[in-house]
Amino acid sequence: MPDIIAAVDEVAATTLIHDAEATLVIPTQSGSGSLGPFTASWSAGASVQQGVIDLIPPNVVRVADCELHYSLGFSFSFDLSSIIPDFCLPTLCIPTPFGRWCLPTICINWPTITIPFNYSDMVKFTADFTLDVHAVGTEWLVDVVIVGVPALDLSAAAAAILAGLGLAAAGILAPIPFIGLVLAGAVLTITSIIAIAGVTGFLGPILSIFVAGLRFTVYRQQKHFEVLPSGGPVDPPVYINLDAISALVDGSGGEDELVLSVDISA
Amino acid sequence: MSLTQADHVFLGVHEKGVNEFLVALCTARPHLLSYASDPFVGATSVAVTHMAAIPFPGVPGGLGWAVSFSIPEVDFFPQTLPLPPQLPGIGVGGLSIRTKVTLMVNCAECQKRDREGARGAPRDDRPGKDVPRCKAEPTEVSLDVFGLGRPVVSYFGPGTGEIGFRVDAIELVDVTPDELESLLECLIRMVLQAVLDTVHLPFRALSAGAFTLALTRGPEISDDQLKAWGTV
Repeated sequence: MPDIIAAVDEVAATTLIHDAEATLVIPTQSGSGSLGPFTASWSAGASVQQGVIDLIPPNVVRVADCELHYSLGFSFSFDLSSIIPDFCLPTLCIPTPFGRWCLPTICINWPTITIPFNYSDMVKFTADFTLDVHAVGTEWLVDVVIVGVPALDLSAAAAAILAGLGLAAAGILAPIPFIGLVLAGAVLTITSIIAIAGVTGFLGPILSIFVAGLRFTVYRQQKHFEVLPSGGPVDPPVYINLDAISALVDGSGGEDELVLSVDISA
Repeated sequence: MSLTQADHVFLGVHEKGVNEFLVALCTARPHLLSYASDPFVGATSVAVTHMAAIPFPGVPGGLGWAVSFSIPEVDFFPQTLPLPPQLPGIGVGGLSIRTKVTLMVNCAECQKRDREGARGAPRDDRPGKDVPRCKAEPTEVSLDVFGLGRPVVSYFGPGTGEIGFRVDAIELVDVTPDELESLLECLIRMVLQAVLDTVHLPFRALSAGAFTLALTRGPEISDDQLKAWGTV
């Protein structure tokens, strides 16, 4: 029998997971990709909150309705020529008493525009995590590590991004000469080219970065564990050694519990 | 039945774990188990707690004494380790404690001439400093001590609390006559309880730092474990 057994039910496990979420720092990510006719560079930050714990023996911690809060900064570059053909005004000659006076050929080569766009939202997901007990240096850690990449329902976010992108594009296109005439058509063309599926396909891989390999640390302790701090000159700190740690989900008692077993020595 | 039962958190510390903690505590702070007066010890240190000598007429500096215990070993219900037949065995929810006590006195023999000399001596040689002037020889005896007891909890709030031990009865083996044994058992029970009052298992140790325990039930002893329930 282990020297110490600590067990928590799903209620307490939910508290522990939420505490772990609060301390989790997810690094900001950035990259670039294609979104319809756009070349988009992006940076994104995210945090994980909430979720209800379902413990499933022998080794699964299911987190349901976990919230991935994210903030995206896009910069879309778009070559207008891809939707509005370049054109040239032909040479126009006018006979005058002094001879023919010709206007030069005028060609319109549509520019590449850049549309900055920020978007923040939250998406819920449900995922299975597995327990991972390991030692790193002088510490013991018990992590719950996500298994696979959960499906993210991004349809609402995609629609919002698409609408926002249309508005942002309209704002950028309005001052460009001649475009005003075709602005509505240009925006409609852009958004229809991208479409919801396009945004979803673009957003999915970005957000998947944040949930793939997601890992919460639910227990972290020094192997040489201080159980009593120094109490004065004649009372030095008291340590015990955490020699071995294991963790599992146990349902044999009729209730699913997260069980931590620890062996110690003086 | 689940470990957490009707609560959300369960902590169980096996008697092996408690004994490891006692070894760690008493090794780091041996003065918790060792007490001595002048002339054995002049000041409290990590190794020993300084106590006053017992004043007694005609004994310069008082009676020098020392008491020390070996690191206690506990056995939780159900009983694993044997106990002397004089003890009834570990009851449900109880525990036994075994240790060895060493009693020491400074067996001094002061000649009248020495004491008279002390009166006329310089100030530094007055009582309190004159024990070494006597012919003194520490005399000690070590006795095995077996006790029965139970856990007691001091709870100060979520995550802050400690578990100690209360001695209900002790037994010294092979002390005769019976009246002397009874006297020594009473004396040692009082001293051992006082010593154990300084030995506590903090909740933090019980949970190996896994979480903050808000105690709702326990501690209880069964299955060789000290058990506590609560919330985080």
